Amino acid sequence: MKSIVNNLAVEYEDHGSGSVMLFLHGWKDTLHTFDGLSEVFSRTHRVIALDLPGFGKSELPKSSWGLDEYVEIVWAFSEKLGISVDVIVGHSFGGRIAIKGLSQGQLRAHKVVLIASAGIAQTHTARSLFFSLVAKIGKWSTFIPPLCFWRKTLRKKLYALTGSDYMHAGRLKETFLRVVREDLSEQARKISIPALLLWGAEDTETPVADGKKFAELIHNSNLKIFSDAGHFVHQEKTTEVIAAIKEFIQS
Amino acid sequence: MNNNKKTVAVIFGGRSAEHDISIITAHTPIIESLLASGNFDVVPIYITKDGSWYSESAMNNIAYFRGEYAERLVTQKKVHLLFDNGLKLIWPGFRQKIVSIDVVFPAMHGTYGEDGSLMGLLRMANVPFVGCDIFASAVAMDKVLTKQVISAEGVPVVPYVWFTRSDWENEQTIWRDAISKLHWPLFVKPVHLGSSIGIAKVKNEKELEQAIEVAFHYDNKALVEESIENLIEVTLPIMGNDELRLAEIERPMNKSEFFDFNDKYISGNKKSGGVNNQYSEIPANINRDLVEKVKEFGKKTYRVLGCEGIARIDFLIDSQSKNVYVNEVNTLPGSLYHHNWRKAGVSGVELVTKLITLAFKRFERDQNTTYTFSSDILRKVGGPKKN
Repeated sequence: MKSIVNNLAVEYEDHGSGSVMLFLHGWKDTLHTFDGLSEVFSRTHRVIALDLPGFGKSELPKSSWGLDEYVEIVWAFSEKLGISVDVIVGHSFGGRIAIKGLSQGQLRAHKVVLIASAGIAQTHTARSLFFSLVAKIGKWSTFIPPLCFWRKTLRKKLYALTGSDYMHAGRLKETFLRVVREDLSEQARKISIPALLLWGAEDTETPVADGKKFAELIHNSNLKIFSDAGHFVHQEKTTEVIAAIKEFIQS
Repeated sequence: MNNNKKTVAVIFGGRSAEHDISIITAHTPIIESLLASGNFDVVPIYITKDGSWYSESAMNNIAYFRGEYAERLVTQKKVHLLFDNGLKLIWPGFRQKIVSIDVVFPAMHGTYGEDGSLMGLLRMANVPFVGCDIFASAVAMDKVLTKQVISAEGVPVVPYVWFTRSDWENEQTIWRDAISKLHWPLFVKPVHLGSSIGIAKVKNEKELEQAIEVAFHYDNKALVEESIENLIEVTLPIMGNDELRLAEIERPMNKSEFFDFNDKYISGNKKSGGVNNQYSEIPANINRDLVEKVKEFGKKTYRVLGCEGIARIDFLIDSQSKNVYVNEVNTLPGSLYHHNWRKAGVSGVELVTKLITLAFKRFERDQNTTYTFSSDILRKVGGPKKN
């Protein structure tokens, strides 16, 4: 169903009853990424999952957004539904929203589950410095013939090598750039509620190193790493992830 | 261009929620069938979401619209229109090019196109065009007007209530009272949008309130109508001006509670050409009495609204009571419902060729209609006062 939040049509699903679990999906994903989890948790909780603006069946933001606007819409959505959230579950980009919102007190919850959360900027790694250098050289050199004829192809190849979502961000390109620029290390440090961090050992989008960094930054946190799983660990290891979240909620 | 061929401008895209669907309709089946026939030169005209008009031959291939085409358009010059007892397209610049259009094939869904706006423009240009004219298009785009017009002619429609945003804001008690008299659950719909955008099925007051807010997010006029128990939904594409040809009665076997945008356009397989036929039953397995009623009400609705060229009539059937209701009329069915026409023995090439013939016939008929007459009224205006 849809709700109008800050003049945007936001698609969401609301199942079950009891204390509220709010699910926030990742970049270029939809609320259905959590179908496996929400089916189980809606037996004991009120499970609410929304399509973040620009994704799924929700409307595209009318201008380029940053993380703050996404935090704001999640807050406004919660207010509109009149819910008091017990547990926030954020995957990847949804984790960013949870960290930023919780750290500045705009979003409130008793517990948070971060699944392969984004938020650790990759700006200082040797790999990203290398790609950044290649991009800069590439940008100028591809104005010169004959490289200019292959400019688009070369650009696509570079972004594919870096594993970036930028080329696929479509009308959200500007938003994507604004969102990924933000490093949330300081915000993560401010989170005081219990946090469960779930990571796939083979994650290449947000590597396990990010999970370990978050575990150091978030005082009251517990990191669980699942072998043979990647960035979508909640889909790849659904049963195990559900068990871990259940144990965390009940503790 | 080959002089023996007719030049057809296919217009698609536009300022509509169904912009992307329009691109699919334009290519599958319209442009690909026109080109396959070998009888037409096709000039694709693409209107952006902000209303700019562009045309280049590469747009005849749908692949053009799969990539970052907005970036490519920035480097293109907009095409200009000239109304000179017909329609001409002008590509301005040092090597200016002008092309006369023999007939226009509108492939636009929803607002600023299917709603009669484009037809008004084409009438002013005095160029033949395919499909329903301005009047049928404008009425069919308004679900309430459609119900009012066809029910006045004896076509059954489900009980409903309609109101504008200001009606709802200022006299909510009156409207809530009117709604409470309907048989729940109810459907809440924006009146003008197609493809089930903004439609919700509501079972209680809280859901009703939310659904009305959503409807008014998309429209200034909302419709609340009863849902049908034991529902069978069917649809019937019809073609013709005076003599009507019916396609097969089709039953969408939707998975969700109602046939929404996703079922219609997204969940289909590639071969369906954008319109989902994976979940359709063609012809619908309904009894002979129902088939006859659907055909009868379909033809009557088509005539009452003044449809010409092509349209698709949607029906709601209560399988227990055997009551058949006309739900809405679509004056440009997505992808012309060519998958259905094919099952009715009409190929894509035959379909577009027939529709162009119908366009020329209507144009010829209208040319023979007298719209002006001589009078001496101007000579009498402003003359000397008579005492």
